[in-house]
Amino acid sequence: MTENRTEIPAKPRRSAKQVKFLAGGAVVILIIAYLIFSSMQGATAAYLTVREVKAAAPSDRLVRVSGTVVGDTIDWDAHNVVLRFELADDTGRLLVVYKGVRPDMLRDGATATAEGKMGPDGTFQATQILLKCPSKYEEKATEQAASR
Amino acid sequence: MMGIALVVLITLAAVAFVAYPLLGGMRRKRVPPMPDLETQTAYADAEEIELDFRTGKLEEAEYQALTQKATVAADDELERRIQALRKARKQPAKPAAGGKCPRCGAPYDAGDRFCAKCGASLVSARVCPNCGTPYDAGDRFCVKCGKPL
Amino acid sequence: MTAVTVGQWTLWIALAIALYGMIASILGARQRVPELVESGRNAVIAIAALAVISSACLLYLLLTRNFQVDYVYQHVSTYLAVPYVISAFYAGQEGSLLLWLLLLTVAGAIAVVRRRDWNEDLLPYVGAVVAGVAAFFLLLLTTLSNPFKLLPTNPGQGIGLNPLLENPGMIYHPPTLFIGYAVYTIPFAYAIAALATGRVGSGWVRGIRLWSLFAWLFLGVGILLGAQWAYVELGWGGYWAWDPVENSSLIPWLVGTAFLHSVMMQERRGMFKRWNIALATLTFALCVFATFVTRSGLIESVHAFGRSPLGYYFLAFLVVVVAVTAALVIWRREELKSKHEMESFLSREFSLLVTVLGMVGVGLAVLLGTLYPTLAESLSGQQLSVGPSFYSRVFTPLGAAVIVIIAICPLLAWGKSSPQRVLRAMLWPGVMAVAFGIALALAGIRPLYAVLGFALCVFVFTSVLVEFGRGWLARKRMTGESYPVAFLRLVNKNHRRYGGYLVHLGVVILAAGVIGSSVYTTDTTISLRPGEAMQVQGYTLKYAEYAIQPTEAKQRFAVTLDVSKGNRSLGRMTAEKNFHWNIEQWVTEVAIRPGLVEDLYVILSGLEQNGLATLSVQTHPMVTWLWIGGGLVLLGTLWAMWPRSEKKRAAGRAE
Repeated sequence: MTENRTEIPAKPRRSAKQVKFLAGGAVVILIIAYLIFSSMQGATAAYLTVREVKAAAPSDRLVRVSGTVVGDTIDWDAHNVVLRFELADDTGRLLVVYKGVRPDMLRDGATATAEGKMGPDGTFQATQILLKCPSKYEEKATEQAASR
Repeated sequence: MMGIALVVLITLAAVAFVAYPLLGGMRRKRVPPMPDLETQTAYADAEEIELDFRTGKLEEAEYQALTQKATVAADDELERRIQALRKARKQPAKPAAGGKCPRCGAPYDAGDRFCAKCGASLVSARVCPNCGTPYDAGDRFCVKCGKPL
Repeated sequence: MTAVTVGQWTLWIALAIALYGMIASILGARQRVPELVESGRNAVIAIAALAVISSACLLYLLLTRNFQVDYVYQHVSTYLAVPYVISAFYAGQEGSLLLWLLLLTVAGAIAVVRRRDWNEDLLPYVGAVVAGVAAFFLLLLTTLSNPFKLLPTNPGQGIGLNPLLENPGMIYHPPTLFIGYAVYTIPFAYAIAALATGRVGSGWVRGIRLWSLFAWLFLGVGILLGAQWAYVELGWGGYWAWDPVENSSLIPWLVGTAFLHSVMMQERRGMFKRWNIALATLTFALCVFATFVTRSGLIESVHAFGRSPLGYYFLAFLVVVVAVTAALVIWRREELKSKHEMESFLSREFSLLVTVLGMVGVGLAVLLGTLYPTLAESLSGQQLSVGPSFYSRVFTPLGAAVIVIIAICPLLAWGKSSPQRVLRAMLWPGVMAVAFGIALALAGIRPLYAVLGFALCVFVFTSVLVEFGRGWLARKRMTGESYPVAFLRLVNKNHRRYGGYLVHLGVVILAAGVIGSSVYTTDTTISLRPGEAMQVQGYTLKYAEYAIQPTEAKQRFAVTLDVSKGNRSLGRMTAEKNFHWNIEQWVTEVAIRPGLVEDLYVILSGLEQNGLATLSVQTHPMVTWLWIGGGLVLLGTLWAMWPRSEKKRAAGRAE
């Protein structure tokens, strides 16, 4: 009987402390979670097909288009550092314009992903081009070129 | 073919190596003891507490209290060992007649102080003074009853 | 073909022995049959030996360029240089798995051989886990992912290595990472052993200290080496692209860092036992995850997942690992209760908790960003991608918070610290940081958030130095030794603490380098004719000569520039863009002039027959700080791992 009496005051003091630290930890977790979710909003870019990109009105949203490079449309102007080429997928062909250094892996048949916005003149203004090795190599040596 | 011959050779060697202990080929080596983890921990703690105090992180009162706790634990442990050694030397302590070695499970005779198989001491055992549960070297609290060791 | 037979069959034998070893160790430990335990231990050693033999066979096949072996055909050619032939060992999936197996079993063999009285009960289970994980890799190697698979005939020539990979980085970056990954199995094995035996006290945690540090070090250095390789080879001026493969190596490192710190809590205060089990398991699981992401194209598309059943095996393995660990944790929940609790927010315990939460949080964020496209595609069919801005937005504030904690945590004591003492300790670092920040702002450095970042780095840097200083003075007062002797004895007596502080210094310098190189990079495109000169960012670049010539391997386009700053000549730089015949691809060789303040980085974009060259001239400030910071982290970790001479002498005496 005496044991019960001396134990009861000890218990709530303990759990109050625990709660304080659990709360502290929870706050930290919430902050991190908030950061993750708010950053996710602005940073995801949808993948669209060529047809979808052409059909959508020129907007400010960043989109990505993936396709195969059509080799004989590659036009690299080393002077003005402007690269033009056509990207093809099963829904059509898209003219991509990229103001930056021509990526090494850009050649006929390469899989390329262009990130950017659809321009008013019907060309895709790319801010970033991601290339994948066309075939044989298993190690997906990728190359990423971004204009600053 | 050479390949198959090599494979057979390798297989035999591997199986022999693995089966060796099962065929009674076990020479039990004395395991080199690590300098006592428990007292090491306690004194390392005391050193760190002093360094914390001298670099201005601890209040004097806290420092005294923490040092007390740390070194008392270590001193107690050393004291306990000395007592156990003294007792073991004075009378050949008899563990319960017959039984199994707590470490390797080999049966021992009444009157044995060390296990004939693995060399573990049958006399002193690291058990919690409160509830009797065996504990780890380096533990400072009993995992079962929570009493400081 | 002997090598093929031997290589293949040793793997089958190893699988059998690994399964036996796992069962024998567990049975022997539970039933207290020392012969079985010993046999199980020998099994672990045996599979290590078998892994060595099998690896040697693969290496032999590669070096003798036996193209009838599919793996050799895929990764080697007759004209590939020897170092790259060796690196072809881990260039593909099958070889990578074999390397993992080799490293894991050797580490496991070392772990079970080093018997001490405090880990005797744990070792059988450690061996069992090592054998179990090895069995999984062996299963893959003998069925789905066989490095010794033969082609019907010998094609006479191999595909060879992609020239983009023909760079010293290919030689040192993957193995370093793999060592980190494989060795993280040992802490996991110890965690399982602790749970199995119920000895979840400080024994197992002390036992894994060196293993965890070793694995963490190799993982971290491996990541840095990869960044350095990307910087010098891929030619876009960056060192980190937040792509899935890179991310998957960073995540276990972040969680591993949390683990290193949470272990401290258990050693000193008997707290965080469940965290330590969980983190050991998580780090290991993430290492296995990373291995598969890198070598199986899992993340690129959901379709890659289904193409080979490897993905399912791997997923099943991870599920088993998590399930078994969870079950064991529930079984041992009594023993895992904390023996202490937190006293106050202003304590080392709480700051360590925040550290652990922060690092794990960042790790989870990166994991989420990496997996999000795959998840979204499989759930909604919508294809999307997560851009680098997600990562910078999450990383920046969290990184800043972690940097601040690096400064504050050492200032706090265990239990409770008084706010006045803490504030007093922050005085000097605070003053230096504020002064530095104001100086930078007055000098016109913008944006302000970068100035804040630099000021934060100065804060941490100063506080670590202050810690060294305070310890030094305290020791001098305590012992009356001379200043040099006091310092040497101080760092010698506390390897962990001062090694750790050195690591923190390195991390801060690295962070400063990240800030500088992210914010202040410049990129200018210029066109030059032979003989012309132009000024870029304070440098004068004079076109010295050019070369357009075919060689056996490639068509070479090269431009050499004379670089000077003001009146001082800085030497020559040659930038190239070559067309390699065999793979019909362009490869850019960037010219870099490293410097402490900034790197000068020149990319050749175009070269015409008359010598007219278009160059992209970039400056990358403070990139060198990344490598310097990394070097300090390496040194600090080595110091923290170094055994104290007194311990060695005592151990020697006891024998």
